[in-house]
Amino acid sequence: MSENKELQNQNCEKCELDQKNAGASQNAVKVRVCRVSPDCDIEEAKDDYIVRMDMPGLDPEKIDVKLDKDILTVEADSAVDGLETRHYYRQFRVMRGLDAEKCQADYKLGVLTLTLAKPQTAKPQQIKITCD
Amino acid sequence: MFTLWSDIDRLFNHSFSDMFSDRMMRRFEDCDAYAGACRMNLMDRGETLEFVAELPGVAEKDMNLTVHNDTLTLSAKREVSHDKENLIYLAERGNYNVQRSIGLPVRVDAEKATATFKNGVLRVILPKAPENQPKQIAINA
Repeated sequence: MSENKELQNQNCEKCELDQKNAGASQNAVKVRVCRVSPDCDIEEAKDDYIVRMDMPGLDPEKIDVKLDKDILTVEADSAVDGLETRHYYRQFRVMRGLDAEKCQADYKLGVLTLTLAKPQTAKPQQIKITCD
Repeated sequence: MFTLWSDIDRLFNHSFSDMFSDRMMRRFEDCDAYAGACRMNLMDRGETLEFVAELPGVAEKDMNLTVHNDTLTLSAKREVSHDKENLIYLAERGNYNVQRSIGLPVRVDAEKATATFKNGVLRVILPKAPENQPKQIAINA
């Protein structure tokens, strides 16, 4: 299952304990931030794919959505005062050929909505028949 | 026999699209936990009690908050809607209906309570009733 191995190796760098504790004193308590997989809905519309994820309490400027070839990664730190800090992290394998420029992201009421425009090749295309 | 089993395998492998192939396998290798239910917490901030709740996707009209004597009651519901013409690949976010009654440790001044809802997080500040406010004790040296 080489496909799955590739995903496993996409480590979330922000969760590496060393990075979190860089500069902390020797006596400081090392706190592991809980990495959480947000609930997600995915649907296919006529011209795009719509991905919705429940991620309340985020700063929209700091949500990281990355498209690397065919791997879509969504991660963000949730620091809600009064609740335990979480690191939202989820990856998806998507089709190759998605244009990141044509994708949109929207964050409202704590729900992140990604609209991934289908590339032209994914849409049905008419093939003209020439007759002699 | 061999051919039959591989046909069945192929049927299960290809009955879903390859588009989001790991959606059925949310493994703990990627994360520590699933998001879980709406988190809530009640904190004592000295002069006030503070209640915080995560309610993603809830519209303001579907939320109701009341304070009566020593009880804070929250009700909120969220309905997920999908366009009927769209093909659904994954539906983990569901409808939810939250009804919570929380006993407050001290009496609060309901008139001065404030609540804000931002980015899916509800925050309620309940000032304690005057008789419950912390009081400084002077020390005679």
